[in-house]
Amino acid sequence: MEFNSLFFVFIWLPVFVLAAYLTKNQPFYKYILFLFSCGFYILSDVKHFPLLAGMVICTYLFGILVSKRKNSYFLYLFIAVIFLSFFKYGNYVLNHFSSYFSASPLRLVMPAGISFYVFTAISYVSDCFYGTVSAEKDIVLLTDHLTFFPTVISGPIHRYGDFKKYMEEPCINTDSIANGMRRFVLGLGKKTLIANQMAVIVNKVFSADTELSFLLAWYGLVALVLQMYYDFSSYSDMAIGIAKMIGYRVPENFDHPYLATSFSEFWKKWHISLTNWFRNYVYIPLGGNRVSLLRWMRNMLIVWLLTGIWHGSTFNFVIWGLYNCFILIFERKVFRVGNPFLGWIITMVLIAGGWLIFKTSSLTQLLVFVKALAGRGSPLNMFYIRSLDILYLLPFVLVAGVLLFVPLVRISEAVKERFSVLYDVFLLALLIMSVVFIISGSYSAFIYFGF
Amino acid sequence: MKNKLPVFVLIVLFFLGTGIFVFPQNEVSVSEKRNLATNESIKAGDILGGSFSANVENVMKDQFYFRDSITGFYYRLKTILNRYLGSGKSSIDYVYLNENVIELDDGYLINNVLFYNEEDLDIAASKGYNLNEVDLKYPEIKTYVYFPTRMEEILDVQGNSPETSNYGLGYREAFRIQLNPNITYGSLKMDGIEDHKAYFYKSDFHWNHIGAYEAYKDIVRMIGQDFEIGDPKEIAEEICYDYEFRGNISSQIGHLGEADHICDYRLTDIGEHTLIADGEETDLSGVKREYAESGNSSQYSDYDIYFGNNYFERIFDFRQPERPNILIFADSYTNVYQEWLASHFNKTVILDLRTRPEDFSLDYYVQQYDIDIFLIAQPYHDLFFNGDMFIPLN
Repeated sequence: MEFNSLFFVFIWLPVFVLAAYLTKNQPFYKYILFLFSCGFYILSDVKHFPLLAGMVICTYLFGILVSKRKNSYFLYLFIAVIFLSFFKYGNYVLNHFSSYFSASPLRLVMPAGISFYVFTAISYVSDCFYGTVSAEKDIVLLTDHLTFFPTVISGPIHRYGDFKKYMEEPCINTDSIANGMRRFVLGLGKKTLIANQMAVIVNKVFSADTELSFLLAWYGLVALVLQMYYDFSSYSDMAIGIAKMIGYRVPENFDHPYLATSFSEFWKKWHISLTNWFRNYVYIPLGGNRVSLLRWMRNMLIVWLLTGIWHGSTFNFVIWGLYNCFILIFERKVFRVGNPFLGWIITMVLIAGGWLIFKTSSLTQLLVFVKALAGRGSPLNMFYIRSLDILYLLPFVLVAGVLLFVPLVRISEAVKERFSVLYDVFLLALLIMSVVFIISGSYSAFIYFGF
Repeated sequence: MKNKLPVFVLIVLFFLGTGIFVFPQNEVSVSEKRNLATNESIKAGDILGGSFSANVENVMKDQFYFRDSITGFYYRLKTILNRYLGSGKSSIDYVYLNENVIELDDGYLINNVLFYNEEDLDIAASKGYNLNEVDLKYPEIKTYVYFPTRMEEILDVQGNSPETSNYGLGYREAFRIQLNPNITYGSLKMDGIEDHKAYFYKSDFHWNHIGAYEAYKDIVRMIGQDFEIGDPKEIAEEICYDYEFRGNISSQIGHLGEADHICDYRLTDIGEHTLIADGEETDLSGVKREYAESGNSSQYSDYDIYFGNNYFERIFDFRQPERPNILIFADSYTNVYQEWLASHFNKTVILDLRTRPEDFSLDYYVQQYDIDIFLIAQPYHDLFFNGDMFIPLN
């Protein structure tokens, strides 16, 4: 089940909010959250629900154990990392070995949200280890945190201390529901009307090998840059909105990252919860930047290698991690552009370069793309570009591009105070258009020429 | 007050969502020509199977209120954007309305051009080889091939590689070079857009009555060089209906675009005959009359409604023992002229192999009806690419 589905918007979400509202001050509120979170995961990925359950139980036990025997923390880390690595990289390793023995390639299916809920679990046990939180004895409460359905699949990663504080006195009222709904609809619109449309362009351009002209390559690159932001941030918006409806404040995950004037600033505004996680649980324990230059570079390298492989199991993610690492080191220790405008241009170029590495599946494809961007690709073939059926999306690209520079969340906070009715009408229109696009995606004419 | 609206919307969403499962549901989409998902496709057991939420989602999408209007709005928006942003010029003006539909002059819709694909090339060659095998197995039976050329096969598109150039004529050549010299080969003349506009519907893949009549004349003359079957018959009357319809190509763009009208010819001297379709005696004029008298066009793909269903087997008997017997491997294109053509033969067996039974035997038909002629008459998508149309020789 996805947030941008009719089932979720028309059934799941209203029922959940109503149930939460009616039970908010009841002792069994936590069971309502338990029911909806486990139910959401079962409906999304039932086959791997036992794995999630196993991770929850293991985390619960180790949370208690770590507070008594500190050394057990490292055993837990080992288990969690092996668990995550097996499913993330198992396919790569198994297929590598099977090719030696001429066996059929195996296929492990990655459990939904594994990267996020394992990191959430490690965050909790780490906080127990460092004494930031006390070990939770109530397994239902801990399960609610680890399986919290708005964030279990794609984050943001949130900390147990915040969740525990919320559960002591959940504040659900019409204000929270209304404000959360507004944020959710904003995210839904970004996903269905922008991110999904950019995905159409990106998928087609990145499949075009022999006709990758200058125009097509740049169109594809712009769409890719927009897709990366809108797709991910929209999901965060929806997650934050759902949590807000029940009065829980999930931390912001994006802060207009494409307005950053330096690469370092970009990484303070992009996927903030993941950056914070690596900073709190990897970078700082390694010494952070309070060490010698060489050690600091080692720390950066470890963090960014892990960040890269966290995103994916193929080699391009490793390269992407190293790419980010070296640029950050260079910017921190060698040279940073002083002029904000020039800094912004260079940052955008570097970001785009990073997304190209992220997206392309091989070095060959990357080189072909870069050549096309530089005007050394295929000759322009407008018939082919038109046949891809992506030109009608140009207005969506332009709107998405302009909106990047509009601080939507901040404006919405200001606008909704003065022009609340107009703003709500706008959001209603956004909701309706999102539903139109969701439904139109299911239109499937039987293309049988004989009839 | 200001926060009441979002809460109200949430409540309305719930009632709208549950109403989809409570109100009467449509089982078929006339515009999409497919069955729609209904409550019957949702089973509690699917939760463990992992498909419960997907099934619920399919039902909600298929049964959503005013679904046709919603998709029609979306496609209207897309078509407008494509007309402004997707238009271009090769040898003729064109607009890509989606990746499968091109709009030419005067609202004529065609499918996407035939880009090169190795698998398709193999199939086209195999189809030619298959006909060759048929011809070799039945040396006493004369084999003919006839098909229409459509604009998407010849539209002048040159890319930087075969994969992005129109390979329509290449596929035809791959098919044709497999045929042995005994097989006579013909096609509907198509020199460009004006011929296409004359012979084909605007919104449907099929040819119109004019194109079908030209094909009928071509086939009669082609076979007439080897057999005494008479000359093509004259047109006695043209019958056209006011009902608008938007055919199967326009269905891919939400049935937008210009509409067509069904027209038909009545020819002179057709003669008395019987028609047995899938084992039952029937009367094609009944289907046509029903359409004409219905006063209520379905507005979608009226071609098959007017010209009748695509039976697996149709057998015309004109009781002309001096004339040869013919077996036609056909599809819906044949529906227009089947009666006209059959009137030149004694017995005409028309088979649509896409719906053949498992125990199909070509030998049976050859022997039972003493077949003298094979005719394969199909457009490119069936003739070159449709694997179901391979003629089994077991």
